[in-house]
Amino acid sequence: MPKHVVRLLVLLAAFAVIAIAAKIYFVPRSYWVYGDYRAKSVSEIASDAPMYRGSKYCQSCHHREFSEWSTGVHRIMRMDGRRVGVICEDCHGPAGRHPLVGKPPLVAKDTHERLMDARYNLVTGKMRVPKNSLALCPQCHQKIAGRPAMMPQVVMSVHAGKQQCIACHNPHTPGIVFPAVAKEMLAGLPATGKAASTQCAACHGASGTSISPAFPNLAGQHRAYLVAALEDYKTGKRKSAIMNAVAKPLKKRDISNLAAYFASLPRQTPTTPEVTASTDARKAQEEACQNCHGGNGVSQFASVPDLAGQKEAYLANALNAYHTGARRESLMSRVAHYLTTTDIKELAAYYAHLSAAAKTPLPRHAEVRPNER
Amino acid sequence: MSDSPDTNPINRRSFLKLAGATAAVGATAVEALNALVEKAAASVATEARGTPSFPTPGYDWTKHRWAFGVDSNLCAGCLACVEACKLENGVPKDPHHFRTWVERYVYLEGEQSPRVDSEANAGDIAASNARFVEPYRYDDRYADKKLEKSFFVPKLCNHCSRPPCVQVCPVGATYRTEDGVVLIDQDYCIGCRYCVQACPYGARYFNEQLGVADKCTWCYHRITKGLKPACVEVCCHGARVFGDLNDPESDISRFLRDNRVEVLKPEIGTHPNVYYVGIDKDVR
Repeated sequence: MPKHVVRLLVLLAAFAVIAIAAKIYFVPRSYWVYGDYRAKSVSEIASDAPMYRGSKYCQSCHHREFSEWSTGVHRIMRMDGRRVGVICEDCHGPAGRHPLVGKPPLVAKDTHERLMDARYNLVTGKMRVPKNSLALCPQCHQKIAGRPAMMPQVVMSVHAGKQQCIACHNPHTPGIVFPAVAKEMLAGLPATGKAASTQCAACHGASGTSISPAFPNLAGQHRAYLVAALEDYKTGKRKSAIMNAVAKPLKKRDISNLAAYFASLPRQTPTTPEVTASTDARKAQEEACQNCHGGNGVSQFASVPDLAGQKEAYLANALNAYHTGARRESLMSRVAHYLTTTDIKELAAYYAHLSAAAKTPLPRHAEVRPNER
Repeated sequence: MSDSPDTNPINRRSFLKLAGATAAVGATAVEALNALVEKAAASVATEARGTPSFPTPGYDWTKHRWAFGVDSNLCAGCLACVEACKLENGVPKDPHHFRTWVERYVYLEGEQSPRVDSEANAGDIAASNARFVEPYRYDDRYADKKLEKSFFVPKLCNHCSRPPCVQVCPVGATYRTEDGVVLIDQDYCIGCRYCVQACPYGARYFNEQLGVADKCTWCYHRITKGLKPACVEVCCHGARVFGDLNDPESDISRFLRDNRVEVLKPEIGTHPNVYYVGIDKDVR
């Protein structure tokens, strides 16, 4: 065989070997397992971590908000076999890895841009609390072309002007329905409560009128509110060194009885004349406070406390606590967020000197039309 | 070339013999190698098929047939689905990249054809700053006009049974899974954008950041874990329905039983798996 033919044959053979080796080397092993694609990529795509976790996920920690939501009109229901309802993550953003403890466990999808994005809760682990309800609620409820008639819609500018939606609507249960208080909580025996109240009298006074401006009067306060307050002190949700210690050993029955007793006492009318708040505080009072606490500081809702004649320092402390976030309640935290230090001072003074005896409750929200379609 | 038979040790006959033998040996070798490769691939295949838990534990993709339903009558155009999709899947935030988007069809009185506002056109929508840092929502530009009718149409990948995008992919980076979802292998995609062009519904987009094509996966990472796609999960109005056609009690099976449905562009033979209720003839 001549040399050049041998060379050619060797070259061809070498080429064939290289080509076959290259094919084996470059085609991924899982190619052709299911078809002309990489079978592994299916499980790669399927292994991503979901960001939206569903409302059940939130329930495990945020009981109160969940129970508010699950009884309100934003809850999930079945209509014509379909799931309808606003889930927590619609407004608060995806839960992702919230609550984040320690460093986030990273996955391939976590690009630098994504990590720097607070919405993914990867770096801060915090959920979004929408600040501006006037921008959020119209996403669904502003009346625009194309929106189906069954959707409750309002023209925002006509409905309430620049008023924040949350002034009247609790976003968790936006129909004007306040959290129903469980029946067993309302039951309680004033006489038994009186016998157990000696410890309370040391600070809150034997007649429910407290001895110090920093301690609230309890006489004539709403029973359901007192129950809720004691429950919160007991669980530690509301913080006070004295009250947490006092409420800790109380049983549910004791709380009902104590609340019933203090609610039955006559309210003390302040002897001082009424003070007039400045324009700003007055406006806040008119636009926000009196929707729930009544036009004269006497609320018509069992779960909302009366403010008329309450101790001034206590009111100021409470508002400050709501403002700073030390004390939390879905509606009050939002209202107090917008108050200045001067507003708080003046509102406290206004309500402390307000006499409720002569006036009847005047709820402003009765005039608000529920939904303009 | 020398013609002398003495000097040339190879004549025509022997050359042909040699050539034939070489070709035969070569062909056998290639065949043997190919057979080896196929055997190896087959063994991997049986291994993978042997585990019913693919791709996640407890999930057998041969037992599911996913489908999607959209009831346009219920869509309120709140765009929660779009935002959820972007957050769930890391879709670029700008108004040019969408895995799912919402269109608004407005028929004004006295006009023959609808005005189509698409979320994919930043000029058609207004910023609200509600959920997002740079969000979108439909504005109220028709407030002072007389409307004949208007409605929203959520759009997404149709996960066609005969997908043109899969057909044109030159590298096998996109495919249809056995449970009926069209996926993109982004590690294998070369970014040629044939598929973006091929999709008759405009459901694919090119992700410039990653240099690959991207599209709706029906949140494959969620549905294989028993969850619903993010857009269905957040839809407040029940306009989006998702489920398994193999389960007669699933949301989608009930949706298809209870409604007269249609698909987009049935005439082009792609056999879409997104079923619509309440859309008009002008919706394509």
